[in-house]
Amino acid sequence: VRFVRHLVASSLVIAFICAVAVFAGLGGQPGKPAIFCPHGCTPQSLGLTPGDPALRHLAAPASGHQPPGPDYANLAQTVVLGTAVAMLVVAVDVTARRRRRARRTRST
Amino acid sequence: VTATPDGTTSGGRWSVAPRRRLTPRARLDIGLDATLLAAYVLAYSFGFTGQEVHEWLSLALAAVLIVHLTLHWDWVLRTTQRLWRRGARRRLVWLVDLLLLVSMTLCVLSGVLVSQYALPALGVHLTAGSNWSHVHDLTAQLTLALVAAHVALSWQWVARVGRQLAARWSTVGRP
Repeated sequence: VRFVRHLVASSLVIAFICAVAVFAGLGGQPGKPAIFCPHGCTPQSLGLTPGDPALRHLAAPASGHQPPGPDYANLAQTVVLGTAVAMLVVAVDVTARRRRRARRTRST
Repeated sequence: VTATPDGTTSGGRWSVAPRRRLTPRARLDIGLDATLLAAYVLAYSFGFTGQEVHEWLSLALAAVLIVHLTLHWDWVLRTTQRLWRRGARRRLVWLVDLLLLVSMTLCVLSGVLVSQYALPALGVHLTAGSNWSHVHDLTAQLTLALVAAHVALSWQWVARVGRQLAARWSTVGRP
């Protein structure tokens, strides 16, 4: 019963965030096609400029064909980026903790 | 007695029994959290998964995310109620978690709205605004940074559970 209550509460919070985003018009004018397509699209085929930030996920090769297999470099890039941020946060946290401890030791 | 990510012993988001005993709840937490992390890393690596897998994986991730939030709802309520009575670190963790919730929700919402495979396969055809793909792109990058920060701020708990798991596995193989 408690789990269900918490499930309902967390779902309501998520629904509230979604509702605010939709009603705030975050998505822009409805009816326009979304700039998103599977592998193989080119900016030109979508009527966009090559540097459009919305095309980050396209990764279309010059030939316009689907890449032969999974892009391992993309996965490695995500792991490296995430790990770098995490290590930075840990470093800051550890430093702050040490400073706090040193201050406490000095005061006693 | 339970240990928390902050090193206190009065119950936290995750509970871990001291020494070498992992509670079933801690096992559930670490299993679910590791799955969520791996799923998010894969879902973010769009070039690795391709769009179809990306969409289905993200939908599954959204469902598990609700379970994750539900399991820690007690912590959310407790920390929110005592927000100004706790230390600055607790407030920072709370803020990072709140931003992560908003960012990930917007990321999933915008992903659903610009879905090309998953939703049409389920018989749902949406006409989304053109900005949703920009929102998806932006929130995905923000979420990656916040997920990393979220995990990093719990590094003590992760290290402790990791040590306990390692100890458990090393004793399982012994006669």
